[in-house]
Amino acid sequence: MSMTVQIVAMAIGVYALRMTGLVLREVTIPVSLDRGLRFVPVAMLTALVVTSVTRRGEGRTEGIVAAMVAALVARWTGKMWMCIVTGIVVYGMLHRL
Amino acid sequence: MEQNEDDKARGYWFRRGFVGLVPLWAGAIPSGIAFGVAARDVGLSAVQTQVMSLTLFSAAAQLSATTLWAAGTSTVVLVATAMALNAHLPLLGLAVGRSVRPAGAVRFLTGWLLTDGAFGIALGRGGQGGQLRLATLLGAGTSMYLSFNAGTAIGALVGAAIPKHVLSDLGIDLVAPLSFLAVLAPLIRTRVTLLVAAVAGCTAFGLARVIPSGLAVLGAGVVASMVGAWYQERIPSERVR
Repeated sequence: MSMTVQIVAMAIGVYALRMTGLVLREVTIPVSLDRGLRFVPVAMLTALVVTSVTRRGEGRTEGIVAAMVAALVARWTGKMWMCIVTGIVVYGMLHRL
Repeated sequence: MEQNEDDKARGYWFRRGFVGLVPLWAGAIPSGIAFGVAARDVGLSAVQTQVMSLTLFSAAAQLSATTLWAAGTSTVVLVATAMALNAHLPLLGLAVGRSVRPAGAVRFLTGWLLTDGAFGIALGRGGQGGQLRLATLLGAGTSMYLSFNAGTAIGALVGAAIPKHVLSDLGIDLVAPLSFLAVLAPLIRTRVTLLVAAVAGCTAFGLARVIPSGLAVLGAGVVASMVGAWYQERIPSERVR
């Protein structure tokens, strides 16, 4: 399946989620589902970070170290651009050694 | 005679929403750039990259798609991941629908531009009483949409201007996970969220050894969320660290 088709499929899926709440009237959600949904972002983001950083080929270790340093920066500064720049710079330095 | 707030033209409220969201450009533009560069790195054309931001309009889903594409992922998993990352949107839509009740064709536009950021800003800029106004929400939504797509365009151009081997040498494929880290870090503030993250990380790592990355992410996401819900039920009050 071409990437363009995949892009359209994702767009449709997410748009459906956006419209669902707007077109539905009063809906009660089971409490357990509501609780679970709130953790989905943290769970998914962590899973994504771990898999993408640990599944790289070349420069894997450097990538993991850079990500750890960047995570600290993210925690301290709360700024996305600093986290990204730190990670890239640290990786660049480690990779060149 | 004092002009009643409700009498003010919709243009006024739209502009309030649009301008009110400008501080969030500091996040929207860089994440747009990050996506633009990551998308080019993975092989998307400039057109595909821009279309993705124009139609999907979700930095989380788009950036995760770039990492999943690099690993080779099926369409079903791509779509499921994009939706799982946006699983809270129906709840957001319900909140909007209750206060604003957009009707007819406007509903589809409201849905297209629906994001947490726009909602939050619109709520804050709704005048006295803090009520949500449709015009403000659309203004904020448009502001987010334009800035994110502008960032994407910049990133796509920059990504194309730099040779691919330079990009991989720089570790540009790390940009997406680094942006996730930046979003993730402030979210982990309580014991339960720390538990969720730990479970998600370990499960994803273990699963990725035996099944494709995309499925591993989904599986870890479901398992960790369930663990979080279960743990939350056992401890009624969250203790902030």
